Amino acid sequence: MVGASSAPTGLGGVEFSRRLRWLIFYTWSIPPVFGLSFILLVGVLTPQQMLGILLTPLEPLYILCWLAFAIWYLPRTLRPLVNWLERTPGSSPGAAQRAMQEFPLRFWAIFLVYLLLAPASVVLSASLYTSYAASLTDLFHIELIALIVSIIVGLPIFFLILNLFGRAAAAVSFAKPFITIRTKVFLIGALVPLLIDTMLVQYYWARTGFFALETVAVWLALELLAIGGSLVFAKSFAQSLAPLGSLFSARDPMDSSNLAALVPRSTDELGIITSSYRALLEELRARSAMLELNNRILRGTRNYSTTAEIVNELIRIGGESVFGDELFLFLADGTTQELVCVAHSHAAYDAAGHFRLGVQDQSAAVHAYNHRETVVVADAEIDSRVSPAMREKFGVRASLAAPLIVQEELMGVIISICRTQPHAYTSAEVQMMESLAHEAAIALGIQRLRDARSEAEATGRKRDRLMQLLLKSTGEAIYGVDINGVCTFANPACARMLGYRSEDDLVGKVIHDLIHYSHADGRHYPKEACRVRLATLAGKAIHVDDEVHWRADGSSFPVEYWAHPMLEDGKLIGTVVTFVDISDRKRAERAMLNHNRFLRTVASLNAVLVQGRSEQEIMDGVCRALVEEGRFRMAWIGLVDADGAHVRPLAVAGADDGYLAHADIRCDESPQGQGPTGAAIRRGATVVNDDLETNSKFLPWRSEAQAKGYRSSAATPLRMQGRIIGALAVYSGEAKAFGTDETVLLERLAADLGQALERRAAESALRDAEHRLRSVVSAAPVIFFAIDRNGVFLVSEGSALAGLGLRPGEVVGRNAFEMYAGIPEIIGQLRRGLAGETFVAYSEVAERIYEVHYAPVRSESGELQGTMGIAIDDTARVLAERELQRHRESLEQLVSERTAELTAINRELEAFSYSVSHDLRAPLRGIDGFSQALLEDYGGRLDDTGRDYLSRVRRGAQRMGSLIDDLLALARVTRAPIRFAAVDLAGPAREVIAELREQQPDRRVEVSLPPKLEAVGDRGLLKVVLQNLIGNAWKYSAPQSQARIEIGSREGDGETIIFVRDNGVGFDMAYSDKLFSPFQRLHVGKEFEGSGIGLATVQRIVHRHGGRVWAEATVGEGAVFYFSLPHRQVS
Amino acid sequence: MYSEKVILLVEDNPDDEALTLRALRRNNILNEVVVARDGVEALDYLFGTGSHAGRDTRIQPQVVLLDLKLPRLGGLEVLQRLRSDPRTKLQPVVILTTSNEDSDVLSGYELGVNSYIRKPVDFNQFIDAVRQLGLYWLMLNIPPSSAGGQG
Repeated sequence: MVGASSAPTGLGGVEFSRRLRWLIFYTWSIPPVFGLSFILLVGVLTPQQMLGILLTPLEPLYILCWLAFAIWYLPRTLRPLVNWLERTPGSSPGAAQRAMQEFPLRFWAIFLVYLLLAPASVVLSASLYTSYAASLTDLFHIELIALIVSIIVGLPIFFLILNLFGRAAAAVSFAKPFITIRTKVFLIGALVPLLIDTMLVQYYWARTGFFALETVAVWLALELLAIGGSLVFAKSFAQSLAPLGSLFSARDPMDSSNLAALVPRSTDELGIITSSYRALLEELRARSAMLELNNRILRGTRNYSTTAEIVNELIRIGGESVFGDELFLFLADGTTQELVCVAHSHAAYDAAGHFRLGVQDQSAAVHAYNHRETVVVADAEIDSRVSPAMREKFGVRASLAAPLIVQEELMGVIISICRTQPHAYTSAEVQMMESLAHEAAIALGIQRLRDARSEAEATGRKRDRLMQLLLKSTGEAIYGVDINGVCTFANPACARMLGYRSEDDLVGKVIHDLIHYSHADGRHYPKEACRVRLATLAGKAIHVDDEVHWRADGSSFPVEYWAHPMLEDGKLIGTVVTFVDISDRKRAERAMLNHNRFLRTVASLNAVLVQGRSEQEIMDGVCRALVEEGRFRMAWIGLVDADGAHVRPLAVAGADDGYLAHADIRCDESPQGQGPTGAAIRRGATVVNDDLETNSKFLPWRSEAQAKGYRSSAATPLRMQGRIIGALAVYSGEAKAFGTDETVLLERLAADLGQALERRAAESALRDAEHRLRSVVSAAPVIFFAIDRNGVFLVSEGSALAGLGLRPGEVVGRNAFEMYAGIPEIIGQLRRGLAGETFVAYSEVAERIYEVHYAPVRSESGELQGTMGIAIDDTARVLAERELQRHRESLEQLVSERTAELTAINRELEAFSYSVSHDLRAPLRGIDGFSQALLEDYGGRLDDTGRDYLSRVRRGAQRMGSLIDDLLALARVTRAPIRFAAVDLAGPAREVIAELREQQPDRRVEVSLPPKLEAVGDRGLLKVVLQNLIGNAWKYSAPQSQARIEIGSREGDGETIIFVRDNGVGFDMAYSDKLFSPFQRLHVGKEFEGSGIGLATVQRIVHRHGGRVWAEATVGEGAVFYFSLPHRQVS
Repeated sequence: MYSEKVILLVEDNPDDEALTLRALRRNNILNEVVVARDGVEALDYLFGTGSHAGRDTRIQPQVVLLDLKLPRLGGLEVLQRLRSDPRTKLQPVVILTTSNEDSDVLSGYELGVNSYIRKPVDFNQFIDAVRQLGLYWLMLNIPPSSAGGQG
C-alpha cells in the first residue's frame, strides 16, 4: 500500500456546494409558486388581485430577498464541510461534523419564518396595491396553505439535502447517527397526516360547493405529491443500504474492490454500520498484511545466511509493506555510539554504513532509538524531533521510526519516510512498521547468534588443528602424565627422542619407569623422588636442566625439561612435560669453557710478560698462570746448564712435590735426555707426549709422574736471540691434553717469554749502566736535571741539590712549571729550553744563584723531547758581578739619556731631509722648467750669450737636484735599519754591471767576477756600496782603452774582505785620507762627474756593518777599494 | 688624443701646475685638465660636493694626477678616501710628486695607487715622463667600466 490513498468520499466539495445551492433554490422558489397557485385555486384572491400582488414590488422583493439570503447563508454554514471535502489546509472533520449537525435547525428555522411571514406579505401587498380588503380569515387561510406547502414541498427537499449529506458523510465518519432512521420515519409519519388533513380541507371545500372536477384534480395532485414523497423516502433508504448491499454479492469480503464500494451513503445507523464494517475489514487487511510481512521476512531471512542478504531482504520486503517512500535501516555501533545506516531503499547493505547518526543528534530515528519507542512524525516541518539536516537531505515530509529490539537488546532503528507530503499515519500503518521492526530485530538477532556460533566453531576447529599440528611438528618432546604418573599423551618428537617406534609405546605406561629410572651416574632414581611427580602433586611448574633421560635401548642423554600442571575446571588432572636433548649444548658449553680458559690463560700470561719486573718473576708468573688459569697440573721452566747437558729448573708451579728435584732432566744423548724436555731442546721444536703411560721414552720418570697425577705433557724450547737456552714444560692430568690450540699457545708463549727475558736482560744491562752514570752524576758538585715536554722532571741528580735542600731524584715526577710557578724567570727559561734553545741563564732559587746551561733533549729521530740542564752554584761570583752590573747600569742610564737626545736630533734631521727632498727640488724644477720654456718660447729674441746663460742656469739647477738626491741617499743610508743575512754579493755586482753596460753601451770594459761572493750583511745597503765602488771603477777607467774591473774577496781575520780593482786613472795616495769625506773629490768635476758623496756613503754603510774601508792606488795605473765585513752568526 | 677624457691634476704649486700643463701640451695631450689646488677640492670634484656640487659624477677623470704635499688634506689621505668609497675605489690614480722617500712610495702602493712617478728636476725628463704617462693612462690603459662603482 505504498502511496498515499485518498479518502473515499465519492463527492467533491464543489459538487456538493453546487447541488446544495440548487436544493435551496428549489426550497425557496417552489413553495411560493405552489402556495400562490393554491391561493388562486381556492379563490382567496382573484386572479386580478393575484396579478396585482405579483406586479407590486413588495411581494417579489420579499421572495427574492429570502431566496438570496438562503442561498448565501446556508451554504456558508456548511463551509467547514466543503473545506474538508476539498481537503483545504486547516479544515478538519470535527468542524465539518459540527456544521452538518447544526444545519437542520438553521434550515427549518429560516424556512418556516420565510413561509409564515409570506402570507402577511401577500395580504399586505394585496391590500396596498389591489382592491382587496384584508380579513383575518383570509390571513389564516393563507397561513394554513403556507404551512401545508412548507411541509409538502420542504420535507422532500430536506430529505434530498440529507441524502446529499449522506454522500459527504463518508469523509466525515460519524461516531453516532446524525439524522436517525427514527427521525426519518417520524418525518414521514408527519407528512401523511398532513396530507390527510389536506384531504379534509378538500372535503370541506367540496362540501361547501366547491366539490367539482377541479376538486378531484386537486386531490389527485395531492396524492401524486404523496407518492412522490414516498418515492423520495424509498430512495433515501436505498442509498443508506447500498454500501452494505454490495457485501452480499461479494465472494471475498477482503477484496479491495469491495472495500472501495463499502462507503457510508447515509448519516443514519446504516452509515455508521458501513463505516464500522469498513474499519473492521481494514483492520483485518492490515493484520493479514502484517502476517504476510512476517511470513515473508521469516521465509526471506531463512533463505539467506549473511547479514547483508538479510538486511537487503528486509529493506525490500519492508519497502513493499510499509507506508512511505523510502526505508532506512540503522544498526547501533556499540564502539562509536553511533547509528550506522547500513542500507536503505536505494542502497544495498554496507557494513561500514552509508552515513551515521550520533546518539546526540536530532533525528526521529535517534529519538526512537534513545526512547525505545515508535516515533510518528505526521508533519516533519513542525515536528522538532526531525533533524532539519535530514529533512533537507532526504526531503522528509513525514516519517515513522521504530526501534529494533530483541530480548530487551536495542539493535538499531528502522525508519520510513514520506517525501511528497505530510502524512497522518494510521494505526495500521504504525503497527505494520512496528511489526516490521520486530521481525527485523528477530531476524538480525538470529543472524547475529548464527554468526557468533559459526565464528566460534571455526575458531575451535582451527585451534584443534593448530594444536595437533603444533604437537606433531614441534621439535621439543612433549608428553602428559596423569596424577599417577601414567602417560596420557606424547608427541612424535617425544617417541623419537626416547627411541620408541611410536607414541603408543609410551601412552598408558608409568613414564618414570621407562625413561627416568636412574640418575646420570647410574644411581637408582626412585619414582617417589621423581621431581616431575613431586611437582605434579604440588601443582607447581618446574624447570630442570641437570638430569638425564634413558632411551629404549638403555642409553641416556642430558635433558632440559619443563613440567607444568594441567588443570581442568580448576582441578589438577596431571602434568605436561616438555623436554629437549641438550647433549649438543653441553658439548658446546664444555668447548666454550675450554676456550674461555684458553683466553684467560693468554690474558694472564700477557700480563705476566708485560708486568714482570725480573726474569725470575716472569718465569714464576708464567708457570703459575699455566697452572692456575690453564688448569695444567704442573709447569716448569728449565735452562740449559753451562755444561750443555743438564737442564736446571728455574721456575716451577703446580703439583711438583719434589718431582723435578729427583727428575735429573738432561738434554744430551743420555736416557734422561730422551724425555720431551730434552728432545725439545735438542730438536728446537715442541715435543708432545700424549700419554706418558704408554710412551716408552718417558720410562725413567713414569712411576714418579703417575704418582703426581700427570698423564700427558708437552715441552717447547725457549730461545733468546735465536739461541736455545732451555725449555718450558707443561703437564696435564688428562691424556691427549695437548691439541693444536694448546701447542700453539705454548709455542707462542715460549716465543714471548724468550723476548721478555731478552728485554729484561737488556733492561738490566741498561739499568747497570744508568746506575754507574748516576753515581758519577750524583757525586758531581752541580745539579743535573732533565724535564719532559710537559715540564715533568725526569732526572734530578747531583750533590749540589743539597744546597736546595733536596735529595737526588726527589723531584722526579713533579712538574717544574708548578714547582717554580712563583719564579717567572725560571718559567721563562724552561719555556725557552722546551722550545729547543741551547743557552745559558741564571736562576735564583732559595737565595742561591745558579748558572744553568740548557740544552734540548732529542730522540733518535730528532724529535724534541724536553730539555736538560746543568746548574752550577755560582752565587758568590754572581753577587760580585751584580755589584759591577749596578755600576754599569748607572753608566748605561747616562748613555741611554744621551741616546734619546741623539734620537730626537736624528728625528729632526730626518724631517729636515724629507723637507729638503721635497721643498728644495720644487723650486729647482721651476727654475729648470721655466728656463727651458724661456729658451723654447723666447730663445729667438736672445743672442747666443743669453741662451748660454739660460743653459747654465738649467745645468746648475739640475746639478743641484742630483746633489740633493745624493745627500738624501746618504742620509737614508745612515738611518735605514740593517738586516743582517748571509748574502751572495755576486748577484748585486752583476746587476750593477748590467745597469752600467746598459747606460753606456759603447764602453768596452772587461769585468772579472767570481761566481760567488759570500758575506753577511744587508743586501740592499751592500748593493749601494757596490754601485758606488763599481760605478767609480767604471767611471775612472773610462780613459783606458783596455778597461778592466776585477771584483773579488778574500778571508781575513774574522772578516771577509771584498775588493774592487780597476786599471783606471788611480789617485795619489797622499790624498787617500780625504777619499771618504763627503763632497771631497780628487778629480776635476768636468773630467769625471760626481757629487763626492758616493765614497762617504760607502764608508758609512761599511762602518754600520762593523767593517772597514780603504783604498790603494797608483796614479795612472788604477785603484783598489777594499771593504771588510766581519764574520757574523745569523739564524 | 681623446680630448673628451678629463684629467684631474691635484697640485698646489702654481709653478708645477704651469709646468705640468705645459708638459701635457708639449706632448699634444689636449684633454681637458681640471686642476684642484688642494685635497679637499680634489675630493669635492670627484664626489660632486662643495664647490663642485651638482657635477655629474658619472663622468670621472680618466686619470687623477695626485701630488702628495697638499694644503688642507694630504695626497695620501685623498687617496685613502678615494679607495674607501665604492664610487671611486677603482678610479685610476697616479701619484706625481717630488718625494721619492721609501715611506711615501710604500704608503702610496699600500693605499692602492696605480702608479708612482717622481717629478724629475730636469724639465726635458719631466716632459718625457708626462709623455709616457699620457700615452699609458690615456691611450693604452683600459679603465674599469662605469659599472665598477661610478654610479
